[in-house]
Amino acid sequence: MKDNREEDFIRFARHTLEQDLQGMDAVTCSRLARARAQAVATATHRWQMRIVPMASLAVAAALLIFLWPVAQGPDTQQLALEDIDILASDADMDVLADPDFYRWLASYPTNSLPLRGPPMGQGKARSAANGESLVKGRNAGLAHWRTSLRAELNGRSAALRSLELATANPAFARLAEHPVQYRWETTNLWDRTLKNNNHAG
Amino acid sequence: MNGFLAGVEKRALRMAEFATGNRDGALELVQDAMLGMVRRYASHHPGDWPPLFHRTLQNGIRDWHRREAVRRKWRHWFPEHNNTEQNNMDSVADPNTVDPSEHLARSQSGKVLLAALAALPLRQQQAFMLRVWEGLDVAQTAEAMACSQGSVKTHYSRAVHRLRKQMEGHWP
Repeated sequence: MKDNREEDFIRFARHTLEQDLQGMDAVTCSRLARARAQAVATATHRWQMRIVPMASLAVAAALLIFLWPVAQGPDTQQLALEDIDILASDADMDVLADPDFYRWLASYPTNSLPLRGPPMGQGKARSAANGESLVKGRNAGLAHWRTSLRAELNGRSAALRSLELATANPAFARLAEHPVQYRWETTNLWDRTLKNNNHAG
Repeated sequence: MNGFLAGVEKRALRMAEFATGNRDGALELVQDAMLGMVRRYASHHPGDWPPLFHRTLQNGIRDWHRREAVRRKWRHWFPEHNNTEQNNMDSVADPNTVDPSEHLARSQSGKVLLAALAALPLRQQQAFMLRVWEGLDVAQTAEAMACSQGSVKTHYSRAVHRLRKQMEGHWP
């Protein structure tokens, strides 16, 4: 009985408070709504204040990573690209192992890739290290080179496209559109390195 | 978060009014509680928002009472010289203030209840409002009031007893 009376009292109190609330004037309701809007707007502003500096920092870091070689000069750029090329691709290990063969591949015109190696006896497809003919391995090497190049360029094209958009520098677009030229420039470095070490061509 | 605040703002204002007896002060307290809620607890689970919001509000109410106590002491030692003017202003009704019992003119019991609620000690008032009006359970009320569950039960029990005693003659 006592519990029922207390429950009834609680229900009456709750009803009374709700009825009182419904009579709140419009001015007060408007002030409450304005206060709530200001509070929520503060939260949005705080998120923007955090995101904008972080985004700026991320863009600056990306530009520094990709443009630092450009700032240092063309030779250094090629060397830096070469380093990235070597580190990023297993195919470059083949270049290190047999630079003569890949120098021969690089001697072909930009937009055409050889379907078969040079005729026998022309001497270009011979290893300068031991004189052995590279004919047997040329097709396999070429196929491997093309496969690795294609895989490498697929990933590099996406990155170059992003850099083109981020920097508006057409040089990146050129490299993306002429990936073989990019590889050509990389391989040319080996050519100069070999000449400097007095390797026969 | 916006939806939660929209649902709780009117009750929070009324609680703050009961606690402070001041509409403008209550509005400031509710706004501060909203700001604090958005800044500190927006990333919390929505189920945790009610006790967190009321804890923020109750902390603000407690700080308001502490500041008022200091102000009263200051006024006691350094009374203002324009007391007459202030007293005259006090007697003028503020057209923007709504008497909480105005809309319950037909319910004498309701008026008595609201007056009794306003007269409750602060902790009993908080416990009663949070349990009865906000629907928080004992654990959530304890979190909002920053006290133990046993204290919540004690404050709540005393509030109910006191209100029912003051409602004698108005409530069967």
